[in-house]
Amino acid sequence: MKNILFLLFLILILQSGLKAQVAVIVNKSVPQDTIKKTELLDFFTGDIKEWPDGKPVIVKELKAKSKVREAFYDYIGKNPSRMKSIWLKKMLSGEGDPPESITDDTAMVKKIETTPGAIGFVAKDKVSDGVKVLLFIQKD
Amino acid sequence: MNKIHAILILSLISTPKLFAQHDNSSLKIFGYFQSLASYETALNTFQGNDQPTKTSFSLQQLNIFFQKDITDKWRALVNVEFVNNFSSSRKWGSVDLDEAWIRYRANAYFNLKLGLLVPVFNNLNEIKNKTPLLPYIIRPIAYETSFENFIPVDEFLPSSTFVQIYGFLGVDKLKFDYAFFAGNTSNINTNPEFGQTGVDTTAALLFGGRVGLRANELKFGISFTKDNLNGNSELQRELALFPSISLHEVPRIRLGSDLSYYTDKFSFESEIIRVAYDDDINGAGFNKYFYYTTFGYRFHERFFAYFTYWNLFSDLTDFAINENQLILTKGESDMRIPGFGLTYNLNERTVLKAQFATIAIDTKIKSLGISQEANFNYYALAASVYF
Repeated sequence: MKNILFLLFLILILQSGLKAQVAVIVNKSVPQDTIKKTELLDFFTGDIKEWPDGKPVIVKELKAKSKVREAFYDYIGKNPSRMKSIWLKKMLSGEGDPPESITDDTAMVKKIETTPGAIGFVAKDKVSDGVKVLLFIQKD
Repeated sequence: MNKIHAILILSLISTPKLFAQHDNSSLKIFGYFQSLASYETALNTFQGNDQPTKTSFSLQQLNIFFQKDITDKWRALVNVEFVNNFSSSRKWGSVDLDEAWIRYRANAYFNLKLGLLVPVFNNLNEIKNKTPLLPYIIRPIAYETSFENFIPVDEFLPSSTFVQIYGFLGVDKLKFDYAFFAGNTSNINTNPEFGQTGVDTTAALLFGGRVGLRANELKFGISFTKDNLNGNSELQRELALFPSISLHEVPRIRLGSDLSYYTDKFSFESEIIRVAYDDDINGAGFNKYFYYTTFGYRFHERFFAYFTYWNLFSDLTDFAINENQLILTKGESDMRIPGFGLTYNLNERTVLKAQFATIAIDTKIKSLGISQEANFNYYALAASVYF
């Protein structure tokens, strides 16, 4: 019985570890402290390209498939292949450029820190003091 | 082909990094092409068709873009298009300056484009030539620019205009899209023997637009254009025998409507286009109607399958000799094309496509008791690559 309880406990611990916790981060120059889901969608689909102060929004995304990436796109309601199709359409219509793909969370944090107007997403535990967090997303 | 390869290689060598937002320091060169293998078999043909099967390999289309962000607000873009194995020495295919515009973006709500541009009209007009975006090899037939010799694409669609304002207004999920444009009528005449070719500067202004609503992935819109047709063509010359009919400055209205919806797996898109000419062209008829609908299903990140149905209906005007007299005949042609296809994303930049379509064309001229039917099956494989 003790063994079974221990096993259940272990499964619960492991499951909580698998939850993807995502932080939506921006460069400190960005003139807002929170963000709505619809705004995120507008920025990542390229519909809106300016912050409220008129400065350009520079979108960055994670290159590799990961739980963080999956959780982020789940949250905004688009799968990666649909996003790719939206960005390609913007590019071939001359209406926008696809976001730069960043190799990993650490590189993403550095990029956001050093790029005015930048917005991206990383695992919650990778956030540094050099960026501003607008939103936490937790995927069960 | 050698010229196309040379241009392609040059473009690849000088292509800067594509995925860099607001990297406005450099000229960006990018593009795409689609290579096609097709097999067509005629099940039942009009009289005189002595080629029941056709096999064709071709570079269906190659587009090269040059893009430069002049400032954060201004962008210039040039798009050159080569169609059907273009070769000037062998007189194959064609090369077109598809787009050359400068855009001012004030914000999402107001954009202004000036120059040669493809206007927003229904779902597909703006992207009809962007083959990597479309699952089709042969596009819904009113949009198939590589069939321009026998499908009058320019009659169904405003192929180019010279000024456009566009953008969207809205809050949260609901957006109101608008686009209004103006330019010259597309000239259907390509033979200098029959009058002016190129842009028709004799006709009245073409103007039109699209207004629509968008709620996330549900999109609906209504499009229209108003212009005049100057029929500088062989038909016009023949019509000189019938003084009551003139194809000069004939008022024309295009009306369109589009509806599309996408989910994670499922997609739906549909369009209607109605082309109506002034009713006063005595005895002649040129009205046209086109409809398409496509249901798609993405059953894997790389695989997409779709079923599509197209219908193109047009009035026909032609001539016949009846009891030693040349008479004008008015009939109708009805083309119905159901089909299905598959796409496979081979890698980030290459899409493989397969398509099957079965084509039925009914032509009727009641006054002469003529009714003809033709059926074809069409199979195609293609690779669409962007670089």
